[in-house]
Amino acid sequence: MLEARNVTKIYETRGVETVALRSVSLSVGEGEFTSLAGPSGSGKTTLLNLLGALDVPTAGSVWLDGQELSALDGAALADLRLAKLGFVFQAFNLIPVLSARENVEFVMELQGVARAERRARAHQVLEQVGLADLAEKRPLEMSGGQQQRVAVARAIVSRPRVVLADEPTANLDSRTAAQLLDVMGRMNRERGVTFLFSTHDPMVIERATRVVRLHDGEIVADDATP
Amino acid sequence: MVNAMRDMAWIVYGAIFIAMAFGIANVLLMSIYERTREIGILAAIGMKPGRLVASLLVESLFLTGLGVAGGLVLGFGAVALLSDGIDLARWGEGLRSFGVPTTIVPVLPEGEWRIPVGVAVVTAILASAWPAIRAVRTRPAEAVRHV
Repeated sequence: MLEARNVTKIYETRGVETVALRSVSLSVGEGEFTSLAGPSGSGKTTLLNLLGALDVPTAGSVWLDGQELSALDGAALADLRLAKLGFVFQAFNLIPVLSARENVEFVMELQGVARAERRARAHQVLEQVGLADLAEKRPLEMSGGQQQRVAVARAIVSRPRVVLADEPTANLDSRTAAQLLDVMGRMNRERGVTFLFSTHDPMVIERATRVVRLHDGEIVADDATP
Repeated sequence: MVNAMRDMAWIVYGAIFIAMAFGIANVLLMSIYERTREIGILAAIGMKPGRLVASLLVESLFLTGLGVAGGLVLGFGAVALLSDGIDLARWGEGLRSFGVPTTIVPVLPEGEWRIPVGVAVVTAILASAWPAIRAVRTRPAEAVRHV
């Protein structure tokens, strides 16, 4: 479903090249609950960004449902992200001027979902993440854990094929992190949503059904590989 | 003498226009630059580049419209308030030697406001289109990290 083939990513800052990924290949199947684990600087976030069409590889290719992402222009990539991908960022990245409900509804507005259906689905998803009572609160009026749950609601409300979560528990206390993982685990089991995390949180790694370990831009271990 | 005064007026007019254009461009450039992260989030969740640019342009034009409306109210208000003229009798002697009356009555001839309004709108479009296109071209992964 989602695949990186011999992907290399090199960042260049003021003439200095940094190799973030070295010829990495990874295939993520439908319904997986996979964790990309590794220390800071191992290339987890870079790989997640490439798989999510948020960045482009220096070499190699990324494929989603048999389509090579580098062959798509900006508008087609936006359509693809809107239809098939959901994102949860470490820093939540909600739109501060919108309420929780509006943040969740906004994605559906981009998808052209009718207003009444938007309302109903936003309410349903916020209920699933335990935030129905805070629907009209703005992000800054909520705790970190609540904001991250809104981010999860926003990521899944568009009914994506894959949710990519970059260090989703990094800014949360362990109890809130466990609650958030419960929510995502339920989405995975009950709705078949594929989750791919980048993390170095042992709790996330423990709950993942597949762990891919990265070190210095290379995959050094993969549970799925016999 | 009259021609020299008219040329002088156009130079002042031009300088004011340039200052105004820089002011508008600076405000709009900063407002878009500061929102790079928000633009990145919108792109990440699937907003198309064309729609992003259009929404930024509409917002810039809205801000410019507010400024233009405020400026017109202040301008017409000031002209109405000073309809009896500004008494410059203290500098009368000097002014008379240049053929300028000691009382200056501000007037806004019919349609004269259209030029500064046009300059403001064109500046707003030019000053916001470039940073908007640049912001949209930034890869979302990079834009969402923008502080």
